[in-house]
Amino acid sequence: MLVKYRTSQSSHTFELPDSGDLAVLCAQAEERIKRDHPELAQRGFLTERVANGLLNSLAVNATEVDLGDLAAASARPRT
Amino acid sequence: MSAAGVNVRASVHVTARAYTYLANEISRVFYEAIHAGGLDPSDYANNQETIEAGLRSWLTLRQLETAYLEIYDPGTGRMVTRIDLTIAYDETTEETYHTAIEDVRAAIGQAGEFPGCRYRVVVSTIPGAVPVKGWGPTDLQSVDHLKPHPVGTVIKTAAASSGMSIWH
Repeated sequence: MLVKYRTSQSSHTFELPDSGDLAVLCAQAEERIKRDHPELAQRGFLTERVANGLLNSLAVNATEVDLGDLAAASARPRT
Repeated sequence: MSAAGVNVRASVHVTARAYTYLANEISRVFYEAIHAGGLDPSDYANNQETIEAGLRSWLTLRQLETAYLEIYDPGTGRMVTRIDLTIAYDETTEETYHTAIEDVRAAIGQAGEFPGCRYRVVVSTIPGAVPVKGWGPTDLQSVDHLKPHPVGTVIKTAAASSGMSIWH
């Protein structure tokens, strides 16, 4: 499946190997993103963003996963 | 649609829907308890996005073990009741979404009301679980003075289910 994400002004895509395991898909996507953009790993909560992006896309039968802008600060408030 | 997208296994979509449903229904059960206990739901509503992001992330990675709603006396810190929703990851081929909400309501009703009490959501995860924004380490409060009342499986999906116990 195709995974899309943005880092500030740039858009990126990569192909994720097929798997029936969400946890495996999440790990593979995160590993690829970290390899291509190691700075994103320093921002924290990358796994959470990838996991939620995968879940949201796949739950509606999407064949493409859009993780959004991974360089943006999360809009979700801290508690 | 990409050519590779055609090869996406249906089971991944079913699992994603199952985990989404499960996270939503855990919130629903906790809301039921908050309302039945006569508590102010605004604290939960204000943090619902953070709570559900954690539940979804840890379910996706199969790292969530149990979600707890602790209800306590703010004056003493003493627990008055606790609801435990324990996750079992048991994939089946049949896509199903079921919440035994009447069983949940009956069990919660037996615990009574808790005027003036506060509550918080706590989870246990497997060691090494990923950090989620807004969540931090904590310990469960003692329930040594309470008794557990098993309710059985209250949320069932194709990828995971949740059993419930309520302490009072």
